[in-house]
Order: sequence, then C-alpha cells, then structure tokens
Amino acid sequence: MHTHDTNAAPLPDRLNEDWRFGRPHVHAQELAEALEHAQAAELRGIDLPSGVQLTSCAAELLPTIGSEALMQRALARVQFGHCLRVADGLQRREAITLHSEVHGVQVQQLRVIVGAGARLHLIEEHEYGEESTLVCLRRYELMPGATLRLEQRELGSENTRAFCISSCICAENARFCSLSTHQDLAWARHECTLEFTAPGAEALLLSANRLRSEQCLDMRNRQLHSSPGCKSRLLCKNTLTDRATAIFGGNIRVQPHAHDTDAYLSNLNLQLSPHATVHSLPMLEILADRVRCSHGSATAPVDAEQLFYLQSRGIPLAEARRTLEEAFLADVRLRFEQF
Amino acid sequence: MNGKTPVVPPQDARGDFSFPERHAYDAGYGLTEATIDYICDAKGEPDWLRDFRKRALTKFRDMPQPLHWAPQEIATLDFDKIRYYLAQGTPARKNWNDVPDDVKRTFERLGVPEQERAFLAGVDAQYDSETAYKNMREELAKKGVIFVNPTEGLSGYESLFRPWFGKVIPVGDNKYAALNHAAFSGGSFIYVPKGVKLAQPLQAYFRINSESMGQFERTLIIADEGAELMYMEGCTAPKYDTATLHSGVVELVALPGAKIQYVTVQNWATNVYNLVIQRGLAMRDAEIRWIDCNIGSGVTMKYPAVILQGERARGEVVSISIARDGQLQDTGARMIHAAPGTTSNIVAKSISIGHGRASYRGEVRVQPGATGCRNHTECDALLLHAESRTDTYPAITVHGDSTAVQHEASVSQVDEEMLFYMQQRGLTRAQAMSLAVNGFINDLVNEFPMEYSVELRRLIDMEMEDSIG
Repeated sequence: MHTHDTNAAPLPDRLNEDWRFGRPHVHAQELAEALEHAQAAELRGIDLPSGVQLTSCAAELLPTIGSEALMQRALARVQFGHCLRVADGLQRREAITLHSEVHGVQVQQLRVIVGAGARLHLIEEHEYGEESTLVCLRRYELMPGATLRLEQRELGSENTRAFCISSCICAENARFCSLSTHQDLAWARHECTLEFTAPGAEALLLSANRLRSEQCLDMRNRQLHSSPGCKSRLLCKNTLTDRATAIFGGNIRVQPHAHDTDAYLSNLNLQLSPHATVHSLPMLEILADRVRCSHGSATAPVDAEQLFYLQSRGIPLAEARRTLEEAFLADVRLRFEQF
Repeated sequence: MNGKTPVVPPQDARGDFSFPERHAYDAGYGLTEATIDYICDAKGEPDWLRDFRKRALTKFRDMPQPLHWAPQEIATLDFDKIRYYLAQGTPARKNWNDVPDDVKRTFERLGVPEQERAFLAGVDAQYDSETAYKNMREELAKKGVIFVNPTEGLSGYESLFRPWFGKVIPVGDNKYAALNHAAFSGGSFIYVPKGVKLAQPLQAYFRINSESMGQFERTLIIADEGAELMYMEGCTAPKYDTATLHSGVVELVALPGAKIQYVTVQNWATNVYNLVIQRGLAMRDAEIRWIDCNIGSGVTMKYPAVILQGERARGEVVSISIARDGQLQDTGARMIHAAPGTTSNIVAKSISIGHGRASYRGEVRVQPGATGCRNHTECDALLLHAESRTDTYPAITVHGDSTAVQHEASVSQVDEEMLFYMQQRGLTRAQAMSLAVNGFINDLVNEFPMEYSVELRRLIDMEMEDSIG
C-alpha cells in the first residue's frame, strides 16, 4: 500500500467553506467509507499514434479545493497511475479517446504532459456500471506553446458517483480548453484547479450539464493567475428538472504582480422545475491592479415569451421546453469546437 | 439642505480628538456575570432582563469566532481587554444647554446642534455607553412617534418594544449577536404609528471617547402599517493605541406597507473593530433600504440584511466602501426572499487605496415556495495601487422555477487613457484621478443626503491629492 497518511487531514465538515452547500457530512463521509474498498482503475481501448506514449508513473498529491483528506485516502489505494506524454511539436487534430468502464469503487490517476508547441485533442470517457463510484485524479501539464483540447465525459447510470480532482498548469503561451459533461450520475463533485505560471497563457473552461431526478452536481473551480498577462474564461451551464441540485463554486485569484490579467467567470442555470435547487458561489480575489476581472451568475426559468413564440408556431409545450433547454446548452459545445 | 458642516465629517482628522474621561460608572475590563450585574444595577433594569443578559453571556462564551469564513483579523480581538460600560451617570438631556460641557464640546465640534436645527426631526447623541442628548420635535411626539433609548423603551413602552426585542436578530444568531444581547447599552428605540410619514430624518450620532471602550448600542425601529421614516447614523472615535470595539445590533421592522430608509456613514478611527449586525424584517408591501458608507475603522464586518417576509416586500442595499492603508472593509448584503413576489436590489462599490483591502460578502436566498421573486446584485471594485486588494464572495441559493436572480461583479482600475485625456485638458493628475474616482461612485453618492455626498466627494479629492500629488 501507498505511504500517504490517511489520518493527516480531517474529512470535510460543515465548517469547510470549500464544501459549502455540498453536504459534506453525507457525501464526503460516504466517499471516505467507499474508498476503503477501492481498487485501481484500468485504462484501455487506446490506439496511440507515434509521438504519444502511455506509461505508468508514481501516484502524486494534487491541489484540491477543500478535499485534501479524500485525496489522501484515494492515494492510499493506488501506488501507480498512468502518464500520457505528447512529444514536443506534435500536431494532431484527430482526437485520442481514453475510455474506461467503472465497476465497484475505483481510483484512477492520470497525468498528461503536452510537450512544447504540441497540439492534442483528448477525450476522457468514463462509463459507469450500476452502483459504481469513480475517484479520478488528473493532472495536465502544458509546456510552452502547447495546446490541449480536453473533453471529459462522465456517463453515469443508476446510483453512480464521481469524484474528480483536476489540476492544470499552463506554461508560457500555452492554450487549454476543457469541456466537461455529467450525465445520469446520482452525485458528482468536480474540483478543478488551473494555474498560469508564465505570461501569454490562455484557458477556456466549459461545462454543460442536464440534471434530472435527484441528481446533484457539485462543481468547484479555482483559477490561479500567478503570472501577468494571462487570460481565462469559464462558462458553466446547467439545466435542472425534477429535484435536481446544482452547486457551483468558482474563484478567480490574481496573485500580487500578476498585472494585465484578463479573467471572466460565468455560471448560468435554467430552472425547469419548482423543486430544483441552485447554489452559486462565484468569487474574486484580486491582489494586483491593472487587471480586468469580472464574473456573472444568473438563474432563471424558461422565458415565457420564447415558449409562447414556439407554441404559436405549433410546437407543443413539452417539446418547446425541450428545444429551449437544448438551445441553452448548445453554445457551450460550439465554443469548444471553435477553440 | 444647508451648506454647513455635516454631523459626520467623513475624514479621520475631524473626529480624532478626545476629552479626559470623567465617568461615574465604569464596569472595568472584561465581560463576566459581575459586569452584567453592574450594568443592570447602574441602569435599574428588571430581573428578567438581567437573566436574559446572563443567558446571552453563556451563549457568547460557548460560541466560537466564525473564523471558517470571516476575516482572520478578528482572531486578534481580546474580549478581556475591552471596557463594557462607561457612563456619566446622568439621564439624557433634552436641552442642549444642560449637556455636560466636555460632551457638548465634542458634539459641537462635530456639528450636531447645527444639523439638528437645520434639517433633523430628532437627534440622539451617544457618548461611550449611554445617550448624552436626545431630542425630537414636538409635533412628532404629538403624532405618537416614539424616539427614546432602549432602556426607556423597555420600561416605558414594554408592550411595543418587548415583542420585537431580539426577534429579528435572535440571541443565538452568532457570537457577536450574543455579545450585544449580553452587554447592550444605548442606541435608539423608534416607533412610528400607522400612516405617519416623517418628512425629515431622525439622526443618531455615536461617539466613542474612551480608550479600550466597547460600544454595544442597540437600535430597534418599528414602522407601523403605512408609516415612513428615514434614520441616519454617524460614528466617530479618537485614535488610541489599544483596540476599541463597536458591536452594535440594529433591528428594523417594517409592518405592511411601511417604508424604512437607514443611512449609515461610518468613520471610526482605524483602531476600531466595527462588527455590526443590521437586519430588517419587511412585511407585505413594505420596503427597507440600507444606505451604507464605510470609510473608517481598522476592520469592518457589516452585511445589512433584509428578510422579505411578506408578499411583494422590497429590499435594497446601496453600499460604498473605501479601504485605505491598514484597513479591511468586509462589507456586503443579505437578501432572504421568504414570500412570493418579493424583489431586492444590491449595489455595492468599493475603492481600495494603498494597502487597503475591500471585500464584498453577500447572500441571496430564495426559499422554497417564494415564487415570482427577483434579485439583482451588482458589485464593482476599483483598485488604485499595485498593493491594493479586493475580494468578492457572494452566495446565491435559488429554489424553484419562477424566480430570476442575477449577480455581476467587476474589478477595474482608472483607465490611463481617461487620465491622459483629462490631463491634456489642463487638469493635474490628482485632479483627473479624483474626477475619475468620483465618477465611479457618482450614482451611489447621490443616494446620500446632500451633506454626506458633498463630504464624500471632498474626501476623495483629499485622498487623491495625498496618494498621487
């Protein structure tokens, strides 16, 4: 077993602000118990082109957003993870898909290193078997001038849970774009930390989720501008029906001397049920002047005038609502395609 | 409005003077049961209130500091080094000439009597723990308006005061609410009867004169059905080397159709911890507006709140914060939508200068069943120097599919091109900067009474001259 001390950090509780509204006494507790029986997950179905290598590497700690204790517990279950390395200068437009099936409780660690000037489109797809849980620890390192387009697809089924911790570090002039989607998971928490360490880097973080029944999606994001002259954009869109819950926590932190930062964060929710709940926590921490930072959060029902317009053209109410729901989420994918 | 000195000049220097302490009552340092007995004996309070205060003291001791979310600066506050009750031992005077000379000189330097004559319906001047002077125009008394301190409120108007006392902000709400319930002294109790609309504002003036003082005033304002009033408060203190604590509790109750406007201009010295709880309860068709300006203090934590309890109630917070070197202005707003058709609006602007830090912390919550609600929140921050800091920490919770909630925040600095344009037309850099900063808060400054807005603009001019010139 791994040497990480599982008792070093306390489990998240109600005083943990990074878990605000996230019901840590239920979800963190259950996850910690599940992790006691976790196995390492396998990666398969990979046809790698030349210049891209998949090797095994030592599992390592990642920055979390309030979940250090869970990270330690996960690392106690895995000694090694996978490392995908893209050679310097490799230009590849076709996507590489990493597909895995999840059964029981599994921990997966993946490290992706995109070499200087390389370009990669990566799809990570997790297909969940019934009652399964995946703890996914991912680290992306973009070398100078590298570009990574990343799709993270969580394809859940009945009573499935996902807990993902992602960390992305962008070097000079690196470009990173991610699109995450969560489908049919009973509970999912996604923590993503993005750090710019050199000027000229740019990131676009996208997420589009259709939540239904009793689903709960807990997205936490931290953008750390440690270097001047970087640009980040985040757009998280959710539609909610039935008794679904969406939690969004986003933080743009501009470190001292990170001037000329340009950052925007947006969380938009379309409420389609009187019983659905949205919690939104968009935050800014700005420690340098000469920056342009802003955020927005909006939660609203379907526009009655738009519904009326579609109905007046003969589209039934249910279909009109579904059309507007699809239209609401559609531009997220469009932005990803355009990156 | 006149052009004379305002009651609260928003610059430190004007309030930074003190007179020797001559208190008949001094409860000493620290808060114990004996301190509470001392306060109750000094004020001649009934036994139920003594027990109430002691239960609050137990809660205060049991509750931790909210350090999991609050600024860490409050961890250094030593409650045992604060004096909890200092009073002259004389009842509040109604005639200005009867006020003790040193207290009178204090308020005359700050312009209280001129203001009262000029445009106030009534004034309450609190000196350390107790009210030194209180007066209200006779015609208002004839209409049934009550404007007294809480001790008089509890003894003389118990049937009006007691049902609402500690109901909007309960004793167990948080550590500082418990502290105020245990040690409260001074403040105002105002009752405006049904349908009475006050054309002129009522004013309270809070002055801390003594070193290591804790001021725990308590204000309860009840506007009965259809009543309207505006209340203004201002705060100053001299600067000492030791920490001073101001931990007031303000409860507003707007009964159906009533309107309350509460204006605060806070200009404490920079050794003051200003940890204030302000909350209003708005019933059906009622409206509560908090207009808040924080310029002084070392650490401020203040989040005016409105609980929109009745259908179609409306809440608004308009807030300006200026954080200079060594200051932390942690301000914001809370809107709790608990009834259908309620609406709220929050506009907060902050300016961080030098090493100053201004934070917006807010909560908007739409409860289940509160259908058709609307909220709009806007917070903008201006950073003037490379070392300045600003934060935004909003929390939004929406239940249901018939409510629209919008939040937007931005951080910016003064545009160099704008400065260049103005300098090209003959303004100095400091003048150009001052004009740009005044433009940033212009729409909010107009919400304040004329005297305050003029002084705010002057303060910004002075700041720009100091920091740029």
